Amino acid sequence: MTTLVLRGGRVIDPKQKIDRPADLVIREGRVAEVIAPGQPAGNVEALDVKGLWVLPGFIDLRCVVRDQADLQDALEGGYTTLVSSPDSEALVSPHVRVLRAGALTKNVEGEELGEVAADTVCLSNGSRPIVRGGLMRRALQYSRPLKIPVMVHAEDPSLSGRGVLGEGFVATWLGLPSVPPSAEVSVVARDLALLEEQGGRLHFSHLTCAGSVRLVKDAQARGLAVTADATPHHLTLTDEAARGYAMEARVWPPLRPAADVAALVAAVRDGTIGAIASDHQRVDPVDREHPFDQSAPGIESLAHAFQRVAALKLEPSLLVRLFSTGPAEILDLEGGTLATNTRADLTIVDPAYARVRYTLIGGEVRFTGATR
Amino acid sequence: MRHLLAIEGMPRAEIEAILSRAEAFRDGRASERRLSGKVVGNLFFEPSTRTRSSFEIAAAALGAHVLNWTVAGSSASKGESLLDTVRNLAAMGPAVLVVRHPSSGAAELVARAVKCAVINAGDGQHEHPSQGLLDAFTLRRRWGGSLSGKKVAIVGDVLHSRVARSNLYCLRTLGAQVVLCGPATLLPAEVGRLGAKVTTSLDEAIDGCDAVMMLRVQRERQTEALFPSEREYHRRWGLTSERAAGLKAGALVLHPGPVNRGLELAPEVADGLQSVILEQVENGVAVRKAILETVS
Repeated sequence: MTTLVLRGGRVIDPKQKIDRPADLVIREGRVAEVIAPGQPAGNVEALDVKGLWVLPGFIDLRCVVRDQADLQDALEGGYTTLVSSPDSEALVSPHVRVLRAGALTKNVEGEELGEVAADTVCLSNGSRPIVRGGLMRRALQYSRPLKIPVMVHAEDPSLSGRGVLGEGFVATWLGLPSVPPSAEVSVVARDLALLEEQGGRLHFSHLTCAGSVRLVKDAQARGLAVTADATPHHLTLTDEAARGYAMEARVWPPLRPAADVAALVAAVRDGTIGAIASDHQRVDPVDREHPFDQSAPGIESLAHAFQRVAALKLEPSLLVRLFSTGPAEILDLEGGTLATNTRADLTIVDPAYARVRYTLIGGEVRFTGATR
Repeated sequence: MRHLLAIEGMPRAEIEAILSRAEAFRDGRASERRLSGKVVGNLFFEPSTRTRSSFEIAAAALGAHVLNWTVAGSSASKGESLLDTVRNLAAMGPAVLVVRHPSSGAAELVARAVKCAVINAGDGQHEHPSQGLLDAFTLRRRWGGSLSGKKVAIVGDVLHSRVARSNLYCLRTLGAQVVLCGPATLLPAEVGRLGAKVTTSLDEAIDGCDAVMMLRVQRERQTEALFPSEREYHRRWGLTSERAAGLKAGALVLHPGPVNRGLELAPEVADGLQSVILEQVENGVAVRKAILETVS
């Protein structure tokens, strides 16, 4: 493998507290060193990244991938590692690292504990709820010595019912069946009580409610091993996006009123929510030829996740935490840093347009975006 | 007006033009067969007797050929998408499609997919514009042409009611005040922001009212019991003979039908002198003629 030096960029790695103009040297597919700009690095190939940010590769905690098109979206979005939901197809990519979340219950049916493969990085029931508290309690008990987090889609189906939009004025106005916050918050409360009692590690996927982040923040303050993520769409779209029954708003969990979105953004800023998960799920166009409530939920978010979240004008180091360092820490994965000898999975973005310019995997450029 | 999808956002002049034209049909001053040689497609994804028949009679009276297309169950369950069904029907060249569907937004979706005019005959829990227009028409006729300053209570299953929403928008645009009333479990979140007073007390709602519109309890839409029993519903939110007797003199009682007798309305109130339920049905044909003529 060749040696490559990335010249002229701004290297940002919150884990090592680096945020400065620097060149980055890659050898044998791994990060060799961060050097002063323009410092000679020997007779090596150089990639001009002037004006761009050089970041540890993005890691996605939750997505449903069905084929190579999804993986191409991931590369375009700067993702170097994906954790695919148990309801994904088992995909192998020569480029993107695809890790599997193990099925928390057999066939994600929510009835009995599922088998845990040796390479499982976390347990998840996809987007299906664990209705029975007793089962959730056993899942935490069983997984505790395995030291892998249980990822939770917090939903009480008896409260969510046939709902397709967060409860509030917009759902009332459009006449859409709605989902009260308690459908999520009550399960967050239950699972935190189980965590406190049983130990283990808990991770809440795609939180949407102010009440949920309040509970998680409180639990973190009390020292419980709980983490959470939010999606780009829940951070940037309110229930207003459903105006005109726009399919962009047909996502699960549902979009919510502005007060909830504001609470989510605040939780991202203060670190309660430590990661962005794309929740990417492609929907066949045929499944969108129905009215809003009968159409399949889902959003293609891998390719544009960074751009969407960048619109929140967060600090660059916080963006890196949310897309890379945070997810790596939550799942205890290699990556999330540019420390010497880490696999050279890098995401290089153009801050002017919040676009991904290069995605490098193992030191090789696997995606090159347009210059504008 | 190309389509009739919702009352919300309709200018007052447009509403009044339809109501005036309906007056002409109702009084026999208009009889032009403006839809002669045209096809009107009735596309019903939900059972309906009076709305479908009313549109059918209106269309036939205007000289149109009526095509009835009733889809049992949802299209999704048959594996055919709503848009598939609609494109097929539209290919037969109708001038107007009258669409009823259990999902909110269905008529709007159809309107975006076809070239012909679309009339929303009820979409989920969203709107039922022709019902809103015919109710306003009925009240206007009884009240000498104006709804200004009148107070109307809409009572019952507001949560599942498209009739309530269309009526609310229509009555308000025409200058009336609206009070929404029902069990707390049947009042959707922040419904007052649609432009009405809201109360769970029927006696408070009907106090000083010029008309009471009783909504049908949508048994088929309720996936679980939203009130303890029908007996209790009738006691708290039903228009009993005693309550009807306490209404302001000359107050009218409306119901979009079909009435669950003894639930929303005591039978003697439904058939009593204050009731204009049959007038609503009769007026429905004239109003739908005016609607069909306006969109085609």
